[in-house]
Amino acid sequence: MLSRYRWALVLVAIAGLTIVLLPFASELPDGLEQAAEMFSFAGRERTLYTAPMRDYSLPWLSGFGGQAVAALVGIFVVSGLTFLLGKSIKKVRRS
Amino acid sequence: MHIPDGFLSVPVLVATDITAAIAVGFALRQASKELDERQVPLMGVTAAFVFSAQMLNFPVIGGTSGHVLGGLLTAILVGPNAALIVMTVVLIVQALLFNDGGVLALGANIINMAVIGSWCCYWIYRWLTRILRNENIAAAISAWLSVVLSAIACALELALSGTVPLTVVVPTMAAIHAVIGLGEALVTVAAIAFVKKLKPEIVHG
Repeated sequence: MLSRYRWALVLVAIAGLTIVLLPFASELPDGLEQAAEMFSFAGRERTLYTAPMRDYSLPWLSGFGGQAVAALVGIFVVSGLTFLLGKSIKKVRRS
Repeated sequence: MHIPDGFLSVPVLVATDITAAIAVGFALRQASKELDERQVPLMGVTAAFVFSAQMLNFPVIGGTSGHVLGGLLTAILVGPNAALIVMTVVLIVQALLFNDGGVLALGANIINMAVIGSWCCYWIYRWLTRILRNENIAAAISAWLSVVLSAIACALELALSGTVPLTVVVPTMAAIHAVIGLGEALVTVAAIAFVKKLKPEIVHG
């Protein structure tokens, strides 16, 4: 098994690679968005709750900077939460 | 493929939210019986990979883009029940921190991408591995199916909600995601090969 240090390194590598590739990510609408435009139901979208980093951007930092911060926050939040959840549900070893 | 709020009707939202809650509860219970401590860091890292991959859209056809789902890859790495949990955490964070997918629509998104796109397609992968006797081909087909079946489920939910007719939305979503699925298949097979080369013992299989 990898040591904790190496897992952290893998996480940093994923974060680094994401930041490097982010400028090349396509801004074109995805399949659902395209279908919504084609069949005129895009207007039905409702925002019931406004997220702090809506659409992976920050209100106080526009452009790539905002996206990069959003990506880093997301990466560390999902991995941290998943790790904690995994820790809390893992099977208990019987001695 | 993340469905925002406003696209689905109340009955579909209720049905999908309840079904998703049951599915996640089941996965948590199963995972608590089988999840080894050594798999937990891998769960965290795959969650990071899935989140990142879903941020990096690539152009497909007709002015459309797509992104890797990562559902089957996650299931092969950490097992189907843990994968359902990983995908659910990613979807919840995407909705609550980034408005990527609706809050009430979380149930539908969990069913489409975590249950169908990860858990179900893992068992399709296992079945295909047995009959084709080739893990790579099985993974490629199952990864492709994970995207297409998720998209069809999404289309069915939209049609059942009365948002768009079934006869137009299902073929359209299936066709677009059939192309996106090719990217999913490629990334899944490459990623599994990469991990197996580095540390084959961490792969759940």
